[in-house]
Amino acid sequence: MNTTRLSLLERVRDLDDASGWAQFDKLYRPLLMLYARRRGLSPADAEEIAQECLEVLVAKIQGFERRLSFRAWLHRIVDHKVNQHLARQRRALSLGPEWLEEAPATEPSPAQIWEQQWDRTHLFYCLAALRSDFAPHTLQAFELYVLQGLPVAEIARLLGMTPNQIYVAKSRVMRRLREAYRRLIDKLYGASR
Amino acid sequence: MSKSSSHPARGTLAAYEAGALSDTQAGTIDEHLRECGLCRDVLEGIRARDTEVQALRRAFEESWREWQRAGEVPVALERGAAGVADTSAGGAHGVGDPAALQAVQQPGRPVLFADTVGTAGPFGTLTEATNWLIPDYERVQLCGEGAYGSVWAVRDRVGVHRALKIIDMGRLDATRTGCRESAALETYCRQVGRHPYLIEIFHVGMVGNSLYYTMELADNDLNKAPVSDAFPARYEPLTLATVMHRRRIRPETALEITRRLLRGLIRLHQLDLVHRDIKPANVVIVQRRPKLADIGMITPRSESREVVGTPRYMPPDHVMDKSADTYALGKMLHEMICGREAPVFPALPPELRYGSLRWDLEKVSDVLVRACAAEAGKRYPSAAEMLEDLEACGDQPFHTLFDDAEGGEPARQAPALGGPNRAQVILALLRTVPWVLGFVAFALLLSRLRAWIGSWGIGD
Ligand SMILES: [Zn+2]
Repeated sequence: MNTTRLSLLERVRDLDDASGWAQFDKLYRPLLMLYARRRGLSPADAEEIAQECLEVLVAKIQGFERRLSFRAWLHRIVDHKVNQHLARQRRALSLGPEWLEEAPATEPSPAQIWEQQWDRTHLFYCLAALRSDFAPHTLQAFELYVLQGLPVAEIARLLGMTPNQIYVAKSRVMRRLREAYRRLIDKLYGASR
Repeated sequence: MSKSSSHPARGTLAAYEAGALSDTQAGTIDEHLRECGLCRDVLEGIRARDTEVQALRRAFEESWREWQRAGEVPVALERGAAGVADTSAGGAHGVGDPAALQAVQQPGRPVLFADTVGTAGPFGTLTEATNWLIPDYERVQLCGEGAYGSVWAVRDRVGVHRALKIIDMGRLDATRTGCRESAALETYCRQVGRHPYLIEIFHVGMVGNSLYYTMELADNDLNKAPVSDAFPARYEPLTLATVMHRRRIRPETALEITRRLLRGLIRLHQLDLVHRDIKPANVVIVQRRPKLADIGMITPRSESREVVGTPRYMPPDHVMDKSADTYALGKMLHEMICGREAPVFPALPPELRYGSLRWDLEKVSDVLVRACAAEAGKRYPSAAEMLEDLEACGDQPFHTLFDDAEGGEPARQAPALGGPNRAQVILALLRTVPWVLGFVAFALLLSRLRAWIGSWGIGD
């Protein structure tokens, strides 16, 4: 199933489209890094992996198989790199104390991590863009209420707002965030997703 | 409570929470909320059940942790969201309580928009470290940065590696946190002394406007080993947060860690000190031993009125006394055993209750229920009581996993079954089955062998 309509992708197939690539980089580099970090790589290694993946992308984007979604394709590339790296690392590292090596974890699978990081990267991309759309205290109320989970009374005291103003701010930002997210996804991958 | 007859209907409260009421209607409810804790609770309940809000919060919390560990914020967020740049917009709206708002932004806390106070947020570059003025310590690596300062790995004159925390007092106009931190340091260094499960502070100093102190350096997360003479090429501090981030911890180990931390906490509580910010990230592993760290929030009990701490590990009533410390330890223990997304809390889910032979997890579950009770009055008053109850859940100290220099306990004992419940006995019996089968097989083999050797006629 081809879930990606290649709108941004079509642009970056033209390797000379600098702005397309800039946008591409801005969105996917952090995603690749976060994924690698989440799989247990150090920051420096994650950075390296992201760089390598982007290089692979540049080299292979023209041969990108349309029968895969871009999401799955990118995952395949980064997953391969990460696995390679982890295998190397496993061979190199001496083992630590027993209790730090416990295996039976409820660690999500690499595919789940990928899905999660994919969604989050896009989400935060939108969130960052909201800054210009609201007054600072509206965003602060949203942040303290939704992202930090402070009690409303506390937020009211901190920001000098009434509870109602906080709830209104929260609702407005949430609504706007939902819209922005939908629009971004459409823009990048087409409405079919 | 006199107005109990005039509570708004649930539907009205829900509309209010969604920001959908007219100003007059909403104004009435604002008024009512000032008096009515019940309705405030209903509203908090709505938030707690809002899956979208909770998912966002979790995403932010987790991503934040990753960004922080990665030492940078994703490029996608750099536009404006990175905090420092936008101070002009910040100072302007001038309502509320900026100093208090600043206090919300503790080191290690995510701050995306709440950065109006003219201080560099954690996304900023607090310690650009263009000039390093701290004498006697050579910096090796930046390990973490928060709204108030940064933590570095450093090397002292004789080549020993330490962690060094710098608090830039100049940046905290009100110096509220700075004062709190230096007061905490004084109390801690003077009264607490050394303890195997509390981080040790070696040196406190002042350079210009910066307060700094050195303490034990956490083991390296990347190879799980203590840092030796040669500083590793790649280093990240090993904390309980990084351990829990990757894996669930076996109940035995989780309980052992908790027991040890309770020991450390007892020392604080005996001195009438409250830690107030116990969370996995503040439990560092030093020489493979868990230790309570980040003493910046420690205060004498009488002063522990304001709400500080990390919401996830704070009791819901926000009473930040000793019982809040044991609440946080209970919450951590629960997370270690059940994972962060456990549907059942504070009890242990039934399927986990028979997972250990050494600990009666049914009883542990009861301890958790009390430690994490929603009301302060129902929680353990302090660490000593919680440890006592927890000790009663295990048969004997379990020492095989740790190299422990702590005095007063027998070094190693063979595991023994004290008063196990039925399920545990059955489980124990089941575990012996392979051994029994193996033994029988071995005996058969032996008798065969004898018969065979006997057939040579030289066996006797
Ligand atoms: Zn009411």
